[in-house]
This record gives sequence, C-alpha cells and structure tokens, in this order.
Amino acid sequence: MFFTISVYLALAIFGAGLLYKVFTWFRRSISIGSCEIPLLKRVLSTFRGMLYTLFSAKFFTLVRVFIFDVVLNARILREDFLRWFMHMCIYGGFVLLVVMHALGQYTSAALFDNYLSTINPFFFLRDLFGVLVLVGVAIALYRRFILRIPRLFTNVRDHYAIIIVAVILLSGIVLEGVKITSHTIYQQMERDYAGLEDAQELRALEAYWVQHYGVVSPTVQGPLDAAILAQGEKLHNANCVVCHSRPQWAFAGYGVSRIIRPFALGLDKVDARRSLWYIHIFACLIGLAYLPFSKMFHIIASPLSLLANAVMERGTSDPANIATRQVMELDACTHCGTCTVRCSVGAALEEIPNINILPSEKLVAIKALASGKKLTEEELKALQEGVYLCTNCYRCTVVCPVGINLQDLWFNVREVLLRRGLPEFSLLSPLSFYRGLMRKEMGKKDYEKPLLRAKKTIADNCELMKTKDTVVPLTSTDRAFKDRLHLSAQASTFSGCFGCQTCTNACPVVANYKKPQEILGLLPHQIMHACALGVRDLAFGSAMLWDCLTCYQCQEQCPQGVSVTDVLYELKNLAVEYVSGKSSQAMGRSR
Amino acid sequence: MKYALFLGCTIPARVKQYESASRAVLKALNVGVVDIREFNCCGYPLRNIDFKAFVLLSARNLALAERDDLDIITLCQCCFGSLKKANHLLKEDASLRNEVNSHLEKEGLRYQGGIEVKHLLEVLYHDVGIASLQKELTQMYEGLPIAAHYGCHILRPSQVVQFDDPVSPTIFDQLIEITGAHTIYWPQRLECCGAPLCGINDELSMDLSKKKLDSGRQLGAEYVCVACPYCHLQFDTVQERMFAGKQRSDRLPSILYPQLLGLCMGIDEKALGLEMNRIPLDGIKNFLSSRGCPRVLSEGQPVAQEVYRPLGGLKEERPVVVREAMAQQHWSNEMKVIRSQDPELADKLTRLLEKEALLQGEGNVYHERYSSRQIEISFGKIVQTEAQRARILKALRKGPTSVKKLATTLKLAPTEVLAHIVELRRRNRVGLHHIEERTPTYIALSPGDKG
Repeated sequence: MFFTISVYLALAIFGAGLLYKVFTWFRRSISIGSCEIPLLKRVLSTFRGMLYTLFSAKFFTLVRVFIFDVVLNARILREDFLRWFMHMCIYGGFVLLVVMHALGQYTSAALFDNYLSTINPFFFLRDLFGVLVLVGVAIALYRRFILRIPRLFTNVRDHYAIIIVAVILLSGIVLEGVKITSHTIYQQMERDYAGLEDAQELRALEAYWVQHYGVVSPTVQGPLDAAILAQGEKLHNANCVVCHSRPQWAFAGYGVSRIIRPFALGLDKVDARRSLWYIHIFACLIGLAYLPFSKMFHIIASPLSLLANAVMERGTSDPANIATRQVMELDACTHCGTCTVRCSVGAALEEIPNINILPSEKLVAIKALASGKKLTEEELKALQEGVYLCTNCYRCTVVCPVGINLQDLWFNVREVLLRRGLPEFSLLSPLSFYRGLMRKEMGKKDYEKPLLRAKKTIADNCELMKTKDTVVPLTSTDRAFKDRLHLSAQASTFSGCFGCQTCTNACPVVANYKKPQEILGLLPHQIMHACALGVRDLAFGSAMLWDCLTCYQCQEQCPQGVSVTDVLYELKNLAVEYVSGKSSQAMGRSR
Repeated sequence: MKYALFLGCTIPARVKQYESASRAVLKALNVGVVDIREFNCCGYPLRNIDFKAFVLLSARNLALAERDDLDIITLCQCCFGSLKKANHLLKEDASLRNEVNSHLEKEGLRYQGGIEVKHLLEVLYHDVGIASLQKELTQMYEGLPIAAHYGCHILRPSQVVQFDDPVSPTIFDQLIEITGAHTIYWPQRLECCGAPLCGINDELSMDLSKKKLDSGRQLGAEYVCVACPYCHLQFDTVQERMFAGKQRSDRLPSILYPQLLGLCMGIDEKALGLEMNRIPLDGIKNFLSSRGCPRVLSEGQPVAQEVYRPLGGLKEERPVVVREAMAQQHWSNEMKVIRSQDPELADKLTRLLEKEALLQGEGNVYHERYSSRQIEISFGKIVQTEAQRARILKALRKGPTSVKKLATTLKLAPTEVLAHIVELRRRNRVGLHHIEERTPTYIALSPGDKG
C-alpha cells in the first residue's frame, strides 16, 4: 500500500515536473527577437514543424540520427573513447535494468513465459547490467576526480547525478547480497513453496542451502554430513531448482554475500534486508521524481536536441521553432565539458580568470539568465566578457554530443547582453571580425552602439584629451605609467624616438584621411612622444590607438628601432586595464 | 618532410576551401602534414586585450608541436605572425618563459624553443623549391595578370618573421609566376587589406580594401591572389557585400594561392573548393593553356634566390625582376598635361622617371634600393606638383583669373594655388595682369614676355 502510494506520488511529481519543463521551453526566450513571439504561436509552430518533418524526406535523417547519435552515442565516440565507453555502460546498463528488472513484471514477463528474476539468464543479466553501470560510474569518478583534466569543472548537479546512480546500484547489489544470506527469507520461502513437514527433511534442505546457496543459518552450521546433503539435494531438485539458479551467477550479489558472511546473522536480526530495500526503492523513486529538475533530465532533452539539430537550420526554419529550440537545448546540456576541453581560447583562463570564457560554464550562466534569475552587475559583466572572448571557431558546436547549436547561442546572447549598456572592451579587437561579417543580422544602431560606447568610455577617462588647444603641464609625469610600459619587453623602446615622423607618414590609416589629426586625435609619433613624456591620458585617449591596423609599417620603417606597433599594443592593454580598474573602483569594488 | 598543420580558428569555420586546397597541394608534393587535435587559437585576437593571454595561447601550440617534435606549418598569416612573435619573445625573455611554463606544466606541456614556425609559402618556396614545383605542373596559365597581395604579417616585423625582403619582396611573385600567370606591379601591393579593423571601424576597413582593389583593377589585374584567410574574407565576402550594396560597380575576384597552383597541378576542382568563393572564379579556367609543360624559363624571369636576411651579413648581388617603368604608365595623365604646357620640363621629368628601374635594381649611389612606396612618395610628389602647375598654366591661358577662382575651378586649396603661382612667376611663366578691387589677377606669359 505504502509502496503503491509512493510510486504514484513519484510519478505524479515526475509528470508535473516534465510538464513544467516543457512549458518553459515555449515560454522563455534567449534572443532578442524571440521575446515577441507569443506562446501559442510557438506551440503551434512546433507541432506544425514536427508533423511536416515526420512526413517528409527528412524522416530518414531523423532515423539515422536517432540510431547513431541517440542510441549509439556516435558523437561521443568521435571525441573520446573512454567517455563513450563510460556513457554506454551507464546508460546502456541502466536502461536494460529498468526494462528487465524494475519493470520486469510488465516487460520481461510479457516477452518470456518463464520469467523469474531468480532464474538464469535474468538472474545473471541483472547483475551484469548492474556491474556495467558501476563500471561506468567508476570511470566517471576517475575522469572527474583523479585524471584532473584541466578546465573540466564539476558542479552540484554533476555530483547529484553520480551519487543517485551509485546509491541505486550499490544499494541494489548489497540488498541482493543480504537476501542471499538471509535466514529469515529462507524460512519464509520454505514455508511458502516447499511444503515440507518432516523435521529431518527440513534440516536436510536447509543444510543443502547453507552449503550451496549461501544462506547463513543460526542452527545449521559447520561441516555438514554427506548423506544429509544428498537428501537435501533431492528435496531441492523437487521443490526449489525450478525457480532458483545457483547464486554464483549473480556474481556481484554473491560477492557481497561472501564478504558479509561474518555479520550475516546480525544483519538478519536487525532486518537489514528491509532497510536496504527501502533505501533502494526510495533512491529509485527520488531519482524519478527529481528527474525533471536534475541533470538526468537530459535523457529526455538530449535526444530531442539531437533530432532538432539534424533537421533545423537558421534561415530555413521557422523563427518560432528556433526560439523554442534555443531554450530546450539548454536543458539538453550534460555539463560533460567536451566543448570546454576543445575550446580554442580555453587556455586563456589561466591569465584572464573569468570562468565564463569556458563554453560549458557560459551555458550554466545562460541557463540562469534564461530562467529570469537576477544577476548582479559584476556577474553580468563577467558573463558579457566571457561570451565575447570567443573566436567563433565553431569547434564547440561541432563536438557537442547533444547537438546544441552553441555558436548561435553565443551570438544571440552576446547581442542581448550588449544591449544592456555595459561597456565591453573586447569589442575593440579582431574578436569582432565575426560580428562585422554578421552585420546584416542586426540593426545599424544595435551594431554600432556597443562599439561607440566602448570607445567613449575609454575617451571619457582620459581627461586631458577632452580640451583641445590647452597647455598640458608636464611636471606631473606619470612615472608609474612609464614604468608599466614593459610588458612585451619591447615597449620601452619608445624612449628612442626622436620625432622624425616616419611612422606617421608610413601609416596607411593616417594616409587614408585628408585631415587625419581631426579624426584620429593623436598620430603615431605624437603617441610615442606622449609615452616619453609620461602623459597617460594622451597616450590612452586617442582614436588612433583603436584604429591601428597592426600592419607593422611604422615599426618596420622606424630608423631608431622603436617598436611602434608593439608599444601601441601595450597601450591598448594598459588602457583597458586602467579604465576597467577605474570603473570598478567607481562602483566601490576592487578589480 | 613532415609538419604539424596549424589551421587556427578562421579557416575551419569560414574559409574551408583554403584548408582543402592546401591539403591537396601538399599531398601532391609529398609534404606530410599531421593534425594535432589539441591545437588552440594562436592568440592573435586577444593581443588587443591581454598580452600574457596571447603569449600563453601561442606558447601552448608551440609546446604541443614540440611534444611531437614537429615544425609548424600555418596557412593564416595572422597565426604566422603571432606564433613567430611568441616564439621570438619566449626565446629572448627567460622570465616570461618561466611564467608561461608554470601554466603549461599543469597540462604536462613545456615550451623549450625547439621548433620553428613556417608559413605555407615559405615551405613551398624553401623546402619544396621552385624546381620541384615546376615539375608537378601539368598545365599553365597564359595571359593571366594577377595582383599578388602579400599581406602584412608575413612581411613585418621583418626581424621576427624573416620571410622576405619587407620593402621589396619577390617570393610570392615568383611562386605565382611559375604557374604561368604574371604578376602586375601595383603601388598598393604591400598595403594592409583592412581586415583587422572589420567589426571595429568598418568604414576605414572597407576604404582600405577599396583602395587596394581599385588599384589592382586599374593596373589590369584579373584576380588578386592571397595567402591568408582574413585577407581572403576581406576581398571576397566583404567585397561581395560592397558590390551587392552598390558601393562598388565591379569586382576583382580573390583567389587563394593553393587554388591557383592546384589548378595547374591538375587537382580536382572540388578539392580546391573553387565554388566556395563568394565571388565566382569560373573565369580562371579560361586562362589555362593547353600547351605542354613545364615551360622553359625565358629571359628576365627570376630564378630561385637566397632570401635576403636583414640581420647582419652583406647584401648579395642578385638579379631582381625589373618591371616596366611603371612610373611612366602610372603618371601618364599627369605627364601629358605637363608636356602640353612645358615640353622641356616634361623631358626632364621623363628622364627622372626612367631612373626608377635603376633605383629599384642597383639602387642609388649608396647602393640603397628604393621600394615602390618610396618611389611613389618622392617621384610621385614631384610629378603631381608639376602637373598641378601645368593645369594652372592651362587655365591661365584662357584669360586673367584670380587665385580664388583658380582654386574653385581646379579644386585646390587657395594657399596651394598661390604657392604655385609664386613659383611660376619666378620661372617667368606667369605674370600679374591687373588688380581688381584689391584682388590680383594673373595671366600666362608666352616665352619672351616680361609681364
């Protein structure tokens, strides 16, 4: 009774959770355009899209992707054999256990007339599948905690997933071991199925079972008489063998039973079997009920994501469906870290300590953002920077085992964040090349505003540049600034400049304008001079700094060996550092 | 020959044809390439933001190649420049090296400076060699003028990249010419394509591209040949966008060097990815000639040479490909105007311009060779100034005019016009006519007049 109620309760919670999750797929949005699409439209478009795809040539694509990517996990195999093996063990073993063992009454019994969990092959297979899952869990623990793969992070959800599976499996195996040794159960089974009355016969049967079936009996112990065992065998063959294969077939449970032999009587007395049964069942039911809210939800979301990825494409798919897919994909993420391990700029984490550089961590933050959680300004800034520090090389998208269109996600989230108005200095680098190529995807204002904002923020912090035609006092030379110019070991060459203006004359950017000084502010030779004078504002504040092509013409032509381009690079780095430091000071926090 | 192929981020994502064409070409030339999966971004885009992050990213790649004991071959010039620069810095600066290694050790890697970084062009020119390349050709082009775009980061800073003469390079031209195409001389050839500013200052970026493409077109090129994905994207995708947006009326198609070479080696078009270029390249097949190959090198064609190494050592005497006095062609309009007003001066200038070939070859009396850019800056200035003066004279022949009116008609600044008038008066070509309400007017003098 209690058991039935618990099962139904768990199923109800699971069902409610599932519905809630699916609802959020249609309700939430990631990209700017998708907020405007009404909920009903998204639902209807999804149905329309699914029907259309199922009844078209794309159906075969779906079948192929289902077999290779969903069932056989081909995408994982392509990247890493160990991980593929681990996942196949866990998911294969678990699915088979659920079908054959947990739902044995319904599935196996329907397929096989002689189904009994204690009969081979089911007896053996149950343990085999169980051990398979445990092997997978062991590999998972090894990967995450022993191998120490750089930049692979493990969070609470990962811990939960490993723990719940481990608890279910281990409790099941230990339960089996305890059952094997349990005298109480033996007596119960004997009463129900043997129907013997003769004390001698009972004793003989029990002796047989103690000898060959691992039962630990308080009364029948020690070396047993051969004649009694022979009689026991006859009785066993008559009454028991039909339903019971040798316990050694259940090798895992049997192994446990051998280990616990010394404590078996004690465990039997405290009815350890019942407690273990409860642990096992409730672990399963908790796992089921909590499934939609945990990492385990990927068993539903990931196949959907893979199938959607196979047939959907930006430009041809309905924008409403793309919006829905973008939210659904976030639930498909298993935090496996493949994207992070293969990320082109992941190694930069060592120098730029922003965890959002890593794709898997970006996704975690984006999930929070999509769910409507309020992020602090610091968190938003960190996310914005992390999402922008991406070369758009597409690798994460190609390797994702669940088919999340990560590249698209980054692109959309980038624009959403940039619209919030926080200045982003990484925009002023070739990381914006992709954005430049994707110019047509957004309005002119949305494209230009973040760039202007970044440049303006830097210019605003350079007081001396704001007023033209003033006399700049040189007595307060910024020593600290001059000393800082040594990062690249070549920036200090600015001191060799004698103002010949060759760099300025060689510069193609300067040559592009009729009145370069008006547009660029300071020209290269003037910036070198500003460095020599230690006037930081002048060095940082000109547009020339960010319009530099880094074509190295100036450095090549300089007769004094001033590494002009390298100095400009250094100034760019220092300017960003200085301005970011200043703005976070203004916000009352240190960098 | 075996190298670790470094593709970078841009090629696999946006210019796949460069990868497939290069692989096909290198395979046909028996150059082995190994793919190292763990390669990451070279760090070039991050250099604007954080110097150490850039060095670390490059160093990781160098350490990975070193682990496998392979030199790196790269197809992208930005990657080439970054990796070379990082290699250079790490070799020089021990403290930087130690800092970087402390991060790399966490992954079991170590940078020791044992490998070199090379660009595709470098490998083709030095390691494969012109002679071997010529043996592989099954067809050649005929009558195909190509504008060779070197790119910036393969030439500069020359101390670090050590690829070719930064001021008067010839390697890329030679590599193109073995295919039978001839490279045109264009004054913009060594300028930047503008790609680094795409996304930051699009107007400036497109202006610079426009200048290059216009110059190439003007001087008769049919295609511009590039060896970097950024340059290619700029000349291909961005130019196509400018054309579609009616900012350009004509397109100069961009072709990647392995595509150009591959066609002559008989490599399949699909492998070369010709159809993946935005601006169609089908026309190029029309230039392929059916005549037998390889052609014997005729007079005046360059032979493979030792590359000039700027660091130390005497400059070796070497025959440089001397192109036609481009200067004369380039300023033909100006010379015409000058000749119409002052034939003697025009003769003098022609003699001066003829020196261009000499200056690019042997050099001046100090054996300093002039680059095309220097010639443009010095001679060009002279010719332009004289041309302006000639135009002023022409206008003055029509009747007396004031400085202001001349400035408006000829679209020059009044101060410029005045300076010219002063000089022309000194030469007795212009005289004061009369003063009208405090504004002087001038007139052209015929020879013999005193004014």
